[in-house]
Amino acid sequence: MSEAEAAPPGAVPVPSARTGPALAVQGLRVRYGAVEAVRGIDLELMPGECVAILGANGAGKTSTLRAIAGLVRPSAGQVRIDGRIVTGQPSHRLAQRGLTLVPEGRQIFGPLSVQENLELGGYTRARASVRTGLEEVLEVFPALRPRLATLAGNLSGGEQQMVALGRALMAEPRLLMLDEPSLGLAPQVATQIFQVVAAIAARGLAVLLVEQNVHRALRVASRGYVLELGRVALQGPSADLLASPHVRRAYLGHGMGEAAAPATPPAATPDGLR
Amino acid sequence: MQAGTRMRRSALAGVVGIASAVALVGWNGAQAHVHAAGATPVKIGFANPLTGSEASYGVSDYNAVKLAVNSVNAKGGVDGHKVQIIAYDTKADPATGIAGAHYFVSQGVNAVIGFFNSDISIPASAILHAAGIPMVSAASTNPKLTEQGFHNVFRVCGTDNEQGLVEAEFARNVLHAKTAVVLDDEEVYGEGVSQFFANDFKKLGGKILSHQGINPNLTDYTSLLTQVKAMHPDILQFGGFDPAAGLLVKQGRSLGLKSTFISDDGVIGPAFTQAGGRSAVGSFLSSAPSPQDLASARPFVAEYVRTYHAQPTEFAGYNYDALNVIVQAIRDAHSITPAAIIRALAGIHTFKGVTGRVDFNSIGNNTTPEYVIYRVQSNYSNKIYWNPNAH
Amino acid sequence: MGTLAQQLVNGVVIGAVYGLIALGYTMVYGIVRLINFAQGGLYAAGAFIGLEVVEILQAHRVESPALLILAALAGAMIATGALAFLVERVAYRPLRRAPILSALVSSLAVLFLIENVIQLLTGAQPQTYPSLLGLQPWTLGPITLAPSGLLIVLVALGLMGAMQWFVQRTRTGRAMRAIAVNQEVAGLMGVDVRRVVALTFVMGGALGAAAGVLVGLNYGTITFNMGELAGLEGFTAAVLGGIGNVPGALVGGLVLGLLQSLITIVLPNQWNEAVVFAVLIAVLAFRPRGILGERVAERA
Repeated sequence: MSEAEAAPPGAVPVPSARTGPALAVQGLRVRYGAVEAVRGIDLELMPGECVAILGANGAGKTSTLRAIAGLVRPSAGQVRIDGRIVTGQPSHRLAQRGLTLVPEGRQIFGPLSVQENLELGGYTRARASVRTGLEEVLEVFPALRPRLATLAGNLSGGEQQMVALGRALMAEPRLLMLDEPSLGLAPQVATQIFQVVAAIAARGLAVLLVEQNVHRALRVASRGYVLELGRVALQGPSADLLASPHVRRAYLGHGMGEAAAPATPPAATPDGLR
Repeated sequence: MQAGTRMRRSALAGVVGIASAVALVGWNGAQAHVHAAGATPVKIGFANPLTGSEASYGVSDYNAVKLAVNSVNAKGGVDGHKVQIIAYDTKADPATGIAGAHYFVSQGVNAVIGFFNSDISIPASAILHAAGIPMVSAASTNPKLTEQGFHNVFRVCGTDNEQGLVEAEFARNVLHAKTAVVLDDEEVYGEGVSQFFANDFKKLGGKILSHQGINPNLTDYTSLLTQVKAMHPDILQFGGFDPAAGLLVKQGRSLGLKSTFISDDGVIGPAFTQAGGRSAVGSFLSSAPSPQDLASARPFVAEYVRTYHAQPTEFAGYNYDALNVIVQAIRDAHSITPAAIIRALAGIHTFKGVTGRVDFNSIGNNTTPEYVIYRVQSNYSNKIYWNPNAH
Repeated sequence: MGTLAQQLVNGVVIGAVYGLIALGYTMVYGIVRLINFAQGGLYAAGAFIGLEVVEILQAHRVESPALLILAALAGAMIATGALAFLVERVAYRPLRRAPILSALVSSLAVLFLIENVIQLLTGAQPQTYPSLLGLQPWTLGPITLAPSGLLIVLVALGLMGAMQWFVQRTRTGRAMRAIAVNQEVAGLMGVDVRRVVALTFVMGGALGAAAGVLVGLNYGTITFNMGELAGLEGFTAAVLGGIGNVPGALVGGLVLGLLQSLITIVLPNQWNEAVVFAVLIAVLAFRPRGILGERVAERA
């Protein structure tokens, strides 16, 4: 909580003069029982940078995000945010440090109203600034304004994704991680969402984007990591990756093909008692 | 009616069983000092509600039995055998209590005193009968206990039909009551007394307006009592135990119920006036004379008060006598085998106990106990109000 | 007519007791989907702690009934809340990821543990509450109502309102509802899920304690095992009103209380509990979301 309140009061955190990376991951490994989903990944993200993580189903993309966000405990490796080691810290603690994950499948709070969903996004903020945060988010997603009192579960898929993104922005994150934001959305809606993602990235916060649609992802991101079987198989600037024969063959073979199979996170979701 | 009670109970029986197993260890541990070195001890099982809402009786009964044991052992035991008590807490719960009979069989006891509650004593007696172990009941007053044809079952206290009859005679002949509402706690004992009361009250020309069962574990009887009040009975008779009886009179009086309250020796303990407060005053309770009111029991009461700094409750004298009757039977038999004890018990006719003479008839009932009617005084003590035997 | 009116009053008073116990079930169930059977034990613990507070204060010559009642309520709610915190730590949190049945059995075990501890500390005999609100019930025509009965109804209404406000209008209440939907995502929003869940248990315990103290004040007698039957009846009320729904707890309690007292007009008393549990079975079979409960399918 103290971290959250120590955050700069401005609505959008400006990339500071800090020289270090916003996120640094070293030798990250994640294991679910006998299965090792992530087998030693290194990655870095500078403030203001938008980076994509690409890869097929089961390559370890979602597991990497979940480990960074504190939802699963890495079996080895180190995660640093703004230079501080945070490996294994619970997710609410990381949220207070300015890290926000928009989980795959949106995961909005269906029985709560749109406004309540957004206000929950601002849970770590000082109470007084929640109101201004709400206004800013409604400027980004004006379509949500007339629906504030609606139960979020009654919204369309695209609107729900807006709520999920808006809820994440409410937290004033310094590091935003998006897991498959276009999954299950109609192409036009997905395009809209990506426009917003691009705009968010342009505002200067660090964005880590997991996306099956390689083309779209690399148009927004400046760099990318390609994961295969839990390891980084390839990395580099977006243009280089788009030009890489390996990427073209493996991920762009079907042109603009929309994501086919939904990527499910491997095995047990620790979901409490339900 | 009874089936309903059983079902409610059995839902929790499993967990209660575990809990009482823990309690059991505790009680036996506390009792370890009674075990003395020497010749084979005589093991006597003692089963009573040592915890739970009826524990005020059970604990007092246990104290009385310990007094008797200590005095026997201080004189070198019986025929050289020290007496060892194996206590079992029934919690007044049928499932837990009946398990006690199996426990005694597994422990190889020579005789059993118990099980206080009639609805435990009756099924437990069958288990002990099959195992050939003598059982002396000191508080279970339901007639069925000794009507099963079991040669191993004896009873030093009286029976419910005698008690129900005394209540009915008192209501009709002394109070000249015409109408009564009868409530019972759906346990074998309470239901028995109430049933005998209702039958005899009708035989004597009275009218029973309603006879209903209550759950003694509830705290709110206002709805039932509102209905009772609307019937305007002269008498409200209740068969059961004191906590529920106290709540009934308290809530009844606060609803403006004017009927005279008559109940039984399950209600004669202090919990009745504690729960009932001023509303309990003036209630009539049928009971065998308590040890304090019996000249023969004076030394026992004095010793009890000296040892425990408390008054013995209603059945303590009977439990004291039960232990001594068993000891007498062992002396008569010159043997501690259960079969020999049973034979010797059947021959007891002139034993002088603190509650009076013990004279077992052919089915094992004591022919001598007599019932009287107590009245709850304004200082919350009980005083003999009517003694049918005196007339 | 007078009898009917009196039965309505009786039903509302006992219904308010059920409602208070149901509120505790509903708070915990609404957030972590656990039927916390320890609730009955916490109710009993609250009754005994409240009595202890009264006795200690009376020994120090505090005589004002209002002060004694307030102190008993506050003391019992705080201490039982602390007990519930401990219960959550020891008996629920370690099982957070275990199958729901483990936590259910654990909560039953806690019920019996609390009962046995009360029994060890106070003995098995029923304990008596002093009558702090005066002996004389109010009489209005054919109807009588004890002052403590009115107190029960008012406190039940007040606590229900407070809970509803808390859950619907406060930041922490919002976090509770978010946890009910998805604990993981609530954590991603910065909600300390473990702490909020613990708070939920604490509130459930405090509500149970309030019911226990009020029952002691109104009926005068408390027993160590008073929570078993009352716990089941409170649970029935919670299910009847729609478990997880705060106003539903009180509505369920009142409906159950009125049903019980009206049924005595037409059926012998021994049918009373059979009716209660028949209602429970019928609700579970035909309308599991109860009177006010939301559709379970609505949860995302």
